[in-house]
Amino acid sequence: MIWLYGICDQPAEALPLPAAGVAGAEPRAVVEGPLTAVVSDHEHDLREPAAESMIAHARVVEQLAGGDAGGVLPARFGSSLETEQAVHELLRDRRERFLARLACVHGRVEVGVRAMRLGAAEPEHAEAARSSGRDYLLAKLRERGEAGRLADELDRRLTALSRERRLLLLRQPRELLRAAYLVEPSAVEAVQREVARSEQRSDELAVLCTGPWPPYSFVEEER
Amino acid sequence: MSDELLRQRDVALVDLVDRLLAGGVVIGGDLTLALADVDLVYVSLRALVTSVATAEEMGLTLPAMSAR
Repeated sequence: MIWLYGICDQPAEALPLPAAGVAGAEPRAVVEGPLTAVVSDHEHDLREPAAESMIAHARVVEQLAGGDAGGVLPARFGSSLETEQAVHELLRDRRERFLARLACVHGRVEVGVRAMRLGAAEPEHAEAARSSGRDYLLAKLRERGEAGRLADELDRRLTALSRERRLLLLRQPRELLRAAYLVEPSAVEAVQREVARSEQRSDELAVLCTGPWPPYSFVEEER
Repeated sequence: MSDELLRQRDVALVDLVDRLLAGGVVIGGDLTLALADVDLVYVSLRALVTSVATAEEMGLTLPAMSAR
């Protein structure tokens, strides 16, 4: 079985390959035209999604993303192919798409942002609910409106700093925004400033910002 | 390490796992990880979160930026 870490568009000899990948196997390059897949070979299927494997995979991807020569399209964790032939076919079949995405992520980093509504507005709701259903709805709308409006504005400002932006699925009721932004490394500070500014503007809004990441969320064209 | 820093690390780990499992190039029907295994990953992650130092020892940087 062949484990896939990512796809690059620089020559194999320029790739910063770490000595050990998943399960201690040594990553190597498979070259097909202008594309290089970074893989490792395993005798058995790696079915156990162990935390160690995730870290090993992420570390190889990070190293590839950090290379001078440019970018990497990370493979989803757990991607594997049966044969080396299948790796060549993958690179051949999707060559144009891979090259286009690599050109886009080249030299850029991903920043993750999550905005959440804070505070328990429930007592106010309960009161409003007692007075009238209409007041209750208005109060609820106002509450969503304030933090939600700030989150929308933050999203607009961060999008303006970005080459591309992806909205990710919201996971919790309190979440107002979950997004990834593809930015120049030099723009990361500006992102942090925008996040700090929007947090200062309301006690009801908390914003978490992680990164810089390899471009995990930007491997496909926006749909 | 302060609680705040630890919390940031945890958030970064959750974000990393999200990216590993939901991001990245999908190569078709060859995903080793079956959907049913995802729960298992989160179990593993909880174990991992308790030992972030291990992740660092393994050479993985966990990027977390604070806005505060």
